Amino acid sequence: MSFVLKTAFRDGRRQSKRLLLCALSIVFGVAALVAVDSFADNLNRALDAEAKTLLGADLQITSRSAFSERVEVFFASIQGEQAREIRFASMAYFPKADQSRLIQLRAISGGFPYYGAFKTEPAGKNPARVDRPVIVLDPLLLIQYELELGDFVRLGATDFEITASLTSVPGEAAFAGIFAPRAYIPLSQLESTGLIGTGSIAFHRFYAANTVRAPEAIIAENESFFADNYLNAETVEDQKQDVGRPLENLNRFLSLVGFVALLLGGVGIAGAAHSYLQQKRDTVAILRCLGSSARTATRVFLVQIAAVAIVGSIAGVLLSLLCQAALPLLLAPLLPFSLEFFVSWPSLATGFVYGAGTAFIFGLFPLLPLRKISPLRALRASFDTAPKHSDAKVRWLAVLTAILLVLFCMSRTDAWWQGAIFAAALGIVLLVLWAVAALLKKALKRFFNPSHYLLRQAAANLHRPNNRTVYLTVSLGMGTFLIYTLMLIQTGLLQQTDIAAQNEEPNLLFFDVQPDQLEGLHQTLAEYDLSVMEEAPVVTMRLAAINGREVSDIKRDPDNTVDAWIINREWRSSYRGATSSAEKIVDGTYVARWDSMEEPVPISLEADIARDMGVSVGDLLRYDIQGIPLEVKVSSLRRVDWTELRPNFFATFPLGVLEGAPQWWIAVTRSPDRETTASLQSALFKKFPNVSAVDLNVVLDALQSVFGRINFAIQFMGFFTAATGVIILINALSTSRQSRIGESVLLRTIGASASQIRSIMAIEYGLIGAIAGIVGIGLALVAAASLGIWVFKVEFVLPWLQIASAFAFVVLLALITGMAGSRGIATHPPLAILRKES
Amino acid sequence: MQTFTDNPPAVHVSQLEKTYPSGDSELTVLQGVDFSLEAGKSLAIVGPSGSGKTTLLGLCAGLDIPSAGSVQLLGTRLEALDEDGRAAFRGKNVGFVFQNFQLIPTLTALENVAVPLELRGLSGSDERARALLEKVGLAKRLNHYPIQLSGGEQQRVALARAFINQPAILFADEPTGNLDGSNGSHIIDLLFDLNAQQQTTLVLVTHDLGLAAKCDQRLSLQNGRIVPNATVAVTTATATPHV
Repeated sequence: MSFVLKTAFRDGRRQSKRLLLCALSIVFGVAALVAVDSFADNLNRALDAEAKTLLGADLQITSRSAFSERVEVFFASIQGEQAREIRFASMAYFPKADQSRLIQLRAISGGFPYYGAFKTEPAGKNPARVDRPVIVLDPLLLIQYELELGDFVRLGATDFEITASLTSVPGEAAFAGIFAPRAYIPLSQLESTGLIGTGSIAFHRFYAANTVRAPEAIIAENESFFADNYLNAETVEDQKQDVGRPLENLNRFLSLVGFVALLLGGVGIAGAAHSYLQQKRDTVAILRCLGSSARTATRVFLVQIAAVAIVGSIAGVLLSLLCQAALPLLLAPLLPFSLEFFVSWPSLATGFVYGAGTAFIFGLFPLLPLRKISPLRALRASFDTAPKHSDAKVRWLAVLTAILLVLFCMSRTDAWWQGAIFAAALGIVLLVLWAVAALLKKALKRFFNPSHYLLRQAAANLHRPNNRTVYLTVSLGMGTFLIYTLMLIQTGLLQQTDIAAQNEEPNLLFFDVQPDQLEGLHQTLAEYDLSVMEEAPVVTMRLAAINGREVSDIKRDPDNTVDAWIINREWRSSYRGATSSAEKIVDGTYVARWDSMEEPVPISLEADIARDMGVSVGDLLRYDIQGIPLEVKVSSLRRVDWTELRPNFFATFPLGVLEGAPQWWIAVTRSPDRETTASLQSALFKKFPNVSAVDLNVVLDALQSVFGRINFAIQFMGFFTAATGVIILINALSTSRQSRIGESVLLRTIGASASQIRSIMAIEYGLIGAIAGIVGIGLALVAAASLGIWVFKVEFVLPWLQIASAFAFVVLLALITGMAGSRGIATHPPLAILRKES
Repeated sequence: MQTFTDNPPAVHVSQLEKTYPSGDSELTVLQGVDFSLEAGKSLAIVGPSGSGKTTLLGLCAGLDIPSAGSVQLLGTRLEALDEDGRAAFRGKNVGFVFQNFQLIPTLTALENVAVPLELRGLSGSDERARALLEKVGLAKRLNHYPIQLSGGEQQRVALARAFINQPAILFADEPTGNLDGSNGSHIIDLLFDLNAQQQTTLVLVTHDLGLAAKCDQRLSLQNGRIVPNATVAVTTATATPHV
């Protein structure tokens, strides 16, 4: 064995615990990264394996209106196996329970699904193959209304017999029915319900399998046909992307959280290695006196740092194996396919390389200056060759590290600039923490001179030579910042739903109300001492031209910047004489009434959609209102608060224009409790079976449930960051233990009591915790507020109580860890400690 | 310029000067130091604290580079070597004994002694280290760490380490400075015994006039300069500054 390896082993053997503690810094970071990457790998493999079952067919074509004859001719031409589905939201009435609720009704025919299985309990009850009024229900409904097979469900005018409960449908997650439970009926029985009328919101789907030509080719060859007929075509590959993309985004976010834990671990390694190597300066000097070159002496410790990096990463990888099993369990219900856990070796290898690389690079920072240790130090301990200017190699290492960090962040985000911003934000946070800690030291030295000895001594400890103030503040502050930012964002998002649930905003929404049913709706609500808080007519239309340019031309233009969803969507617009309470005019003038028969008609557009369309006040549009073209002019732009459950629209017309167009109404009210809501829904169903009622409480419950799972996954990852922060703190305390023992012994020798020494340490740790807490929490508030306002578009409210408890937590954490790490120092006889510790 | 082709002195110091920056000015620690020491002889460098003794020892051993002048060990000019070259030269030809022992705390006594040979990649380092430790009376303390040894024992380990590579020149910085009288005497006896056995050239810095008296030559420093014809209380030979 070479001298370097032998000496590295011999030297490290006596300090294995310390080196292991050092290695522990990156364990959680590596575990977090590997867990996330493995989850992504598991996910991708499952997506590949079950790709076809995601769609259940080779090709799916969707339209917001019934397929025209031209489209039917086209369907016939592509041949192969074909199936149809019409899906829409509807109220269902359960006679047995005498209650009703909103469901997602799906009427199907044909052989769908062609891949995967339509699983029911009992098995084989796919209603597509039945020609009588039967229904397969989400099990949630069976449980909620205590229904059994053979019971009936009334849809519109027809009673359907429950033949099975739904287990799974290809391409849909178990959570798919969470907002409105699913129900399947035969397509042949839909007409008898009378639920589908003019202007009803329904999706018409066409499924095909084993077509003569490949689905991709069919889409490519008929692009303009699809565009002209407002058809949306999807292949298995599209569906894979649709399913994979959100999960990929979540994964990316989680991996950044994991990366932060790793980065924090790197900072921890640098700090622990710095302290460790400080004590090796004499050894380096001795080795150099005995004939070792600077390179050889440094390599001894390079080997140790490398070993720490490798051991830490291996431990992290092993820990990740446990965590890998947890993430799929947490997120499985959100997935439209079953996810099996397997060990992802590439992820393990990548995580190991990232972990070892991070630890090694950060360990190099304190290692490089060892090259400059003069052998003279062996003769004279006071001899120090600390260079006046920073080491060029250290500077290059810093630049290299920064580049690698930015590259890593960029590789983990959707757009490169997002990664760059993430890395820059981390850099700024580090810089602010470092600057504040450095300023604190200077300020304490210069201005803080209390008469109380204990305070003076504690403050002096923070700015004495070789203090750990900056390191502790940066690591603790960074941990606080990261974890608290995550908490604030979660709180902010969830607060939005709470606000909606608790104040006097509407919580029950009725749609598909026909004009002649409005009066009846008012009467029914009055029977429950309720009134319509707001109502609005809805007229469906499509965009036909923007500033004289036909939409069909825009669609074909490769340089088109208008989003496809704007051009293809079916606009549900309204007409009103004034803006609603959730709207604010930001440009132009709202025209309340237009009695002239002249066109263009002045309309008001929602500001964001106008920006996305590239139009402003004065621009001309043309709408196709159920076959009739109407020229309009943008007369005003409105900012709309979409978080309020009120009838809000992208385009609103003045009174006097659309009154004669085919329309339905939307209305909102506030129900005092869930019982009233249930009873009202039943009463309304009996009168107007076509009117659907959305209970906001149910939607909020569903949202909370989905958020809860995602939040838990994020918190799960945040735990790794927190654990790393605590390990860094323990590391920092353990490395400064030696100097604390020296001071404590000296103080005890000259008569200080144990409680006085404890008080000094408590004040010191408390101060560090307080500074790290203030800066970390302050930065987190800035970050969360910025993200809340600009990214999530939610109102940011300062959670004072949460801030106070977070601050108290950080101070207590520093205090408890510090005092626990210093136990025994204050109470044992000075000589005994010296013998034991030296 | 003087050259030594046949039998060069073990140590030859010429017009040695060392200055350190001190604020805006420079602090001269050594100035105009000249001396020579023949192979196998011993030299004691004496002088009050701050006179430049340790700086001179460090320069002589190639631990630092002079601001002016030159140091030749065994005919090799140290200034001509780079940092690694000087380290390699020390590893092969020089031994050290320090006032505060300077053992590597994480290595056992045996491992500490073996380091110089292991650095050179020579085999049999353990056997030789064991033999030397036996010679200094530490046969039963081979696997003890420095912290488990007394001051006298630690200095004996340091002596064994200093002699393991059979150095041509041994530099000792106050070798008894941290020891009591009895332990100090024992170390001095061992030092001179081993020195005699291995025919090593010895350069030591000391305040101990009894120890200085045992050396063949003495060199007295004051304010960084050699004090010519200085009277040392227990003088058996005079310092022989080379001019």
